[in-house]
Amino acid sequence: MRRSVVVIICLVIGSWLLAGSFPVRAQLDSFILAAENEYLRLYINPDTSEIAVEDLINDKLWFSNPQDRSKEKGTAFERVSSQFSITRDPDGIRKENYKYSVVYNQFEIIPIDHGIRVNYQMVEEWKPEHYTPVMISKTRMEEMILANIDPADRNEVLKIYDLIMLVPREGRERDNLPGLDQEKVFGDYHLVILSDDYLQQEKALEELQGQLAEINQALQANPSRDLEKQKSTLERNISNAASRLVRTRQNIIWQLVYKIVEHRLDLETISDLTHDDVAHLVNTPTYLLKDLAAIQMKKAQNIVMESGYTPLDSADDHLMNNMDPYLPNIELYYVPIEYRLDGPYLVVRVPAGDIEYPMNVEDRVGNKYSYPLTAIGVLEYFGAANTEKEGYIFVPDGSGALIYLNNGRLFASPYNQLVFGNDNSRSITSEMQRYPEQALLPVFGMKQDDQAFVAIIEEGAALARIKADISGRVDRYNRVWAEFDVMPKAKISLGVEDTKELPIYQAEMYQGDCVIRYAFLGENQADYVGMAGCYRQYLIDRYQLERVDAGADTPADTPPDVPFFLELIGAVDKTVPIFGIARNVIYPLTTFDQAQTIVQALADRGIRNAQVKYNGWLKGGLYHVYPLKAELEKSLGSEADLHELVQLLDRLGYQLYPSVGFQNVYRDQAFDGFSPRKDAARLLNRLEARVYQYRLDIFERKRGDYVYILSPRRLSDLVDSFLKDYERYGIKQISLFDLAREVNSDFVDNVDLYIDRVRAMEITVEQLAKIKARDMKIMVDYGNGYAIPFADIIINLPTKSSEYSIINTSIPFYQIVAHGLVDYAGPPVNLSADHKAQLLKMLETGSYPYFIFCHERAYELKDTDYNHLYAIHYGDWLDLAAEMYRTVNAVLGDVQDRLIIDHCMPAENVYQTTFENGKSVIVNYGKNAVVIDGLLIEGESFAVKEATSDAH
Amino acid sequence: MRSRLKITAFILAVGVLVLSTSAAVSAAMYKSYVYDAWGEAVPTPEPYLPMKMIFGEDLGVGSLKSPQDLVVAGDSLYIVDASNNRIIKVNEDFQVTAVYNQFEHDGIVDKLKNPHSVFVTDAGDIFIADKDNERIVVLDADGQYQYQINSPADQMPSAFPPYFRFRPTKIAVDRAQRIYVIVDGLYEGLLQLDKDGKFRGFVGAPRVSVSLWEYLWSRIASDEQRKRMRLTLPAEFSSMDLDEEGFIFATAVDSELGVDQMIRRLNPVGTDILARAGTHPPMGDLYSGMESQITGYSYLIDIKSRENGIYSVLDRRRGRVFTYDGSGNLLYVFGGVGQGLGLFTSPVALEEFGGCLLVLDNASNSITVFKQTEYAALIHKAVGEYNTGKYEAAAETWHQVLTYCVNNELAYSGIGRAKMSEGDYVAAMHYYRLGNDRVGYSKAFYRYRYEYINDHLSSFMTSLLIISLAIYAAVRLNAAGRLRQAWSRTKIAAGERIQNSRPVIFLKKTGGELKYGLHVIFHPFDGFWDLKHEARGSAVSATIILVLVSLSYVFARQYTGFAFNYTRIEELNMFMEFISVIVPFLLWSAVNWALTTLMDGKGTIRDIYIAGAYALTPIFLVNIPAIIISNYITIDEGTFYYLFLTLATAWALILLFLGTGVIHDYSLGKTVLTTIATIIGMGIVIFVSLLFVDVIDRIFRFFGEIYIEVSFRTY
Repeated sequence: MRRSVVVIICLVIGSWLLAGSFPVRAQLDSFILAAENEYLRLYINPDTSEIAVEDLINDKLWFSNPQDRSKEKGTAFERVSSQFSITRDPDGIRKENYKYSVVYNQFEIIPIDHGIRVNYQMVEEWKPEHYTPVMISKTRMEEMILANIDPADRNEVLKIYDLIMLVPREGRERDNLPGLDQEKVFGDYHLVILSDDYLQQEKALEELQGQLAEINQALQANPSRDLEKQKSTLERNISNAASRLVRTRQNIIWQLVYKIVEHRLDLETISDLTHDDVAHLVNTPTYLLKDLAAIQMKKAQNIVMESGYTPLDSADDHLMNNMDPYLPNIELYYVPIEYRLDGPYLVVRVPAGDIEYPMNVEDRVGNKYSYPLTAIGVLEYFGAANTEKEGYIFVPDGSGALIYLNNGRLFASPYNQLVFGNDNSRSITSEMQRYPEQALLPVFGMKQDDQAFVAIIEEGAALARIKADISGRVDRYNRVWAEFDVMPKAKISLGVEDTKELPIYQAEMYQGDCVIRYAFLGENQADYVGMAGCYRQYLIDRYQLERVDAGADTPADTPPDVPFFLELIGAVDKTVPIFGIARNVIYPLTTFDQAQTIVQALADRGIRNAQVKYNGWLKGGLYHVYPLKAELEKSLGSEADLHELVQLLDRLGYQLYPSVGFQNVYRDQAFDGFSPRKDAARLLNRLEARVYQYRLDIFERKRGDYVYILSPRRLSDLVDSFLKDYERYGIKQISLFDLAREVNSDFVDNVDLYIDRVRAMEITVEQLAKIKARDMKIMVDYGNGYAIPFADIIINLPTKSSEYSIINTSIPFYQIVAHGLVDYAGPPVNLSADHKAQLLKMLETGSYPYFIFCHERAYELKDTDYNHLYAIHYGDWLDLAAEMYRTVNAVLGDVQDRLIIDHCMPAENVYQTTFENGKSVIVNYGKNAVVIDGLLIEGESFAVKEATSDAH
Repeated sequence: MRSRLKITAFILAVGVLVLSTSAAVSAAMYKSYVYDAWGEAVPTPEPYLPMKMIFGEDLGVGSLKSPQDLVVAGDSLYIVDASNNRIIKVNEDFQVTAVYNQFEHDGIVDKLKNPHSVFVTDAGDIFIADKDNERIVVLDADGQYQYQINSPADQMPSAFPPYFRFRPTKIAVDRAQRIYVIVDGLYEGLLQLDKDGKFRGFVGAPRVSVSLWEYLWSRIASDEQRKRMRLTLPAEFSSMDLDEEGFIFATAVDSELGVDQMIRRLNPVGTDILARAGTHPPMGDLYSGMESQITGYSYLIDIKSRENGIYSVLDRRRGRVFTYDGSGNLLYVFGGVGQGLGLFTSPVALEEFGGCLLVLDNASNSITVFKQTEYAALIHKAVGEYNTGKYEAAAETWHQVLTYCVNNELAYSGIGRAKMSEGDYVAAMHYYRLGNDRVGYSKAFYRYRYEYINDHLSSFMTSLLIISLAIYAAVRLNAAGRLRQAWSRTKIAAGERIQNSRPVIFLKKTGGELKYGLHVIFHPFDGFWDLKHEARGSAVSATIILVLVSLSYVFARQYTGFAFNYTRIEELNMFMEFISVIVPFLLWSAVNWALTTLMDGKGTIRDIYIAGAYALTPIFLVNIPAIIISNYITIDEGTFYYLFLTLATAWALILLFLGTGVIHDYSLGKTVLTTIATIIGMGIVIFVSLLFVDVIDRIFRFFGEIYIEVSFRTY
């Protein structure tokens, strides 16, 4: 029975009549108009379900699938023609909707508000083995199959069959088949084999016997040694051939009985067989499928498939031979996808909650199977650029990165990066992959010739990975798309010696939506600056973002001072033996009093507007205790000392940002309100999630050196509890160490309790909003995109990408988006190896200086877990800090609240950043001097072009 | 607006044309580190940062194909583009100045076939290891053919194994015009030829160090057998480089040498003279990483000799460059394996060119250019200054290094050295201590002690005199007797009640028993006999002795002088120390008891326990003064220290032996037998316990697996 017959509901024809303009472009001949507004028109091809978008403003066309794809062949063509692909488990096979749905016409198009919805049913109804019946009578074989195929191919088909028939026994001997009741099954009949090769063997045997008879005669007549020898050889050959024949015969009979049992639901074992089950073979030559490996059958199956013989015919043959027919595939998927026009955007939505996949489906013998759908890649070829196009793919790796179209780097793996970094609750595959930067923004795009698109993952971003690849690897197209890991999975192995692995999954599939918003850029904006501008505008519109308030209280004639970001390390813990027992003791590096010394030293060197992050001030130091309360670390001083520090900072015009981390539990003590069993997030294998330290040299885990991940479920209560206690210090600023750095799921095995990564991100955002609502200023580290609307300061923001091999160059995309809306700094200057490049990077990206200081001699950190803070003694760095601050202040002071409107590379290793007021900064990272627009820039130096009057 | 557009268009054009554009950056994809004295990798700033990748396309000569080597000569870089059968010469701006792929001789056009390396002499002669043509081709500076060297096996077949094929992979020519060749599949070492290609022998393969057994065997072996014995260990070399002094730095990869012997510096005779004076031998990574994704020790594929005796090696296994100074101290490590700028999948060659380090990767067919950072520049400067005897300047530079990275132990030692030469021994000791440099510390301490005693000689002698006088007077005046008398008077005054109270009696008794220990150790036969029969000891005092012995080990770990103390203080764990004394002791007692009851020993388990504990008394008595003394002696004087410790242990063991004999009333022979049997018994007990633990572990794991299978087999 064929199921899921095509239903194509053609769209309301009126809609395009109303629109008045019939598509005139030749490329849109096979498309019909689905929706339109003043910016865009959406078309769909009712035969292939591919879509097209017409950008009315820029007069450009975009297709979901390349229109010149007919050059691609085979699987490449199927992939290029698909709108999405799913990954099905347990074997991780990718299935494209073209191959499994479109070619069977198993989709329907339904109009929705401002767009359309396409529901796909994905199935491969019949598998190749369903085309070759287990038994087919000789006549039907000849009529239905052999007659319709090339004579040369006939042998290929017959090769996989044996021809058998039952004939009256007439006293012939039974075969030796222990375990089979031959009386019952064959009764008075005898099975004969009519396959050509079998008959030939029989004939050969007879000939040998004939020869033997001759030799016997000759021997009688004339005995000789030679003849004796011949005779014994011949006898051996005869017995070999005879036993071979017997074996073949036995095999065929076993094959017959077992195949019948296998294809009969009512029979359990061969002892249930009766003569009725084989009666149809009496005097009817019938083909029986040989017992061959799948690979040996493949060719024959393909030939039969081509012949026009269908699985339905094979069902008939099975019925005629008293067997149950093959049943169709039980593996069915249902995937809807929606396209909608929303102002200038095309919004693509995959409602993951509506996706269906085979879950505990039964086959005809009652075995249950599940084929979970683990990932879905959406519009993989949208706007794909072929080899003739020039331009680049933009990916949000770190500060942003470009992959030039057709860059030929086929030795490198395709780009594939999770948005917002790793989910630490999913096991990390390799320590080596942990170093690079994260994808901070859920944005990607592509520029080709004079047009560009940018896509914003609006919902489901935390489960998305952005993928990109260049032409030449699998097809001729450069492409970038988002894939959603809707069903996080892992494999667990059973024990050490057992190599068997079981797949395990999140408690249920992600139930929310996956939404991608595409915007289209025309000639004037078709570059990464345009993409950044588009995303910035989207953020401003959506969150009502405002410009930073630069120097409201400075006199009007002097430019306001840029912020200087200082991180103080309060206390750390060290292992020290006390009477021979290794104890963890707190070791103060910067007390509240000493902090005063440091900030005073900053002020003395002319640094103004310092924003001081105080890390390690909570009880326990840097790896503080579970922060249900905002308890001071006693060794740093009393609350009064802290207040004195705050007062000094006030006098200097500085602000204090005490730092706290909520998502990781560094110390698990008794009665601290945290119990790993109840409150730690769970890994997919349902164990408590821990993040380990790794050895730098050989990437081995350091045993016992780990922190727990707090379940996002507990986050809100913890933040409330902390804030309540924090209020007593009267400090209206806070630094959140990890909220903008990590998003971790909780895979507890309970449909009501588990928290997928999208929900985890929502909880994080709720916390940020809650803190913001208390009118507090927020400093975050690293700066995952969701924090931009809430953060006042982002420190440690990457100024470059991970520089994967596939990437050609890094760009300050994040900074172009954020400048003027939020203050930010790159990595700490004093921990980097190249200070000069750091300064240039600051000027190029509009970042401000950021240093980490402590008061004690830094060698106290040697031989501790904090030896990565290897250069933080304040005395060593004050001069450099002051000098750098002066430079940055002079250059960026008057553009703090200005957007970056352009960024470009006028020469190799030279970058030019232009701000809203027309001021531009040109930095030269190279060793040699260059001349740009008549301006000489020395090597490893920079120049500033002030705003001219004709610029706006 | 309009001008902006133009600029963008222009950039794009540039960007597409020049495929390799990556700005100077602030951090790299890899994390740099050095090993500290404990062998732990500690983080450092990046000594080198990757600037860009250069592909063949960038050079304008089409893509490289499986390139094998980089060689710098003068201000030119030679890229050995093996599978394209050519050698590309570029200048410092990476502009191609010459391509060598064919040459004419004897009227025919000859071509290279899979060349693997090249060497350019000062005179400009280009020696090419033309691997698949099985020859060395010598070209002049203009690329004109001069001559070629064919297989040396033709000259002297007896010196080569029958399967030998002359497939040269690396080549070097020293100042004396000797040619050194690494041949693929040749395990006899480096092939040494003279300028015209005459075979001169093999150098560099390490000699077999003959053990006593092998020596004896060779005495009785036949001539034939003796011939088959190897004189050298097989070693396949992967690369070599001539250093400033004309010696050969070489790296071995496939060898029966130890992993710490793979880097070799050969003098012309072929003896390894590499200095291995650092805290760890130069060998790349110190560990093989049994549990990590990449396992195995560093696979050193190339070596580069640099200024001031510094050299760098390239590890193919983890894509890293390790740099050592002339003494074998690790200076810095950078690079990594993987995909990204500064990472490699198959690095094959390392060079220094125009102040940058270059690494050739023959999987991505690219050269990665690394720029030196301030941090590495300072380290090089400091090493140079030290080598030229500018110790103070070196100390200043090492101070600067420390502002960049407090984890650099070499810097502390460097400063310590300078402080030593300044005569500031206290500061020197402080810095040596931070640098975990025990030898340096000991030297500084020696000078400090000498000076201190000199300065305080008069007061030292005075106090010595006063103390001797005081002792003499005390003895003379019978101070002890008088004190005791006074005490007894007080005793009477304080009343008999206290004297007879139980704690005081107990303390007195235990004190007496402990004191008896002193008697036992000097008079073992008598002592152990009385211990048992006169009940001069008790289980309580035995336990106290045991605890004291354990404590003395704990104290030794924590308070032994720095020069002798190799304990990582953070990892000190009292309980482990206790267990390490008490468990073996209890095991001894139990096994000994079990055996002697069968061998009609007279001692009870209590006797064994008490006697055993008393036998350990010397350890405690020697350990404590040894700990104190260790703080005041230097490593050179350490012989006595170690001698005392050894003597104490030997003494204790002898006592244990004698004690066993006495308490069981055994003859000497029987005591020896029992002791041996006890030791064997202990071994069996340990073995069975381990077996038991393993079985328990398996049972737990089995249930764990069942749990996992039951709870997760849902699909």
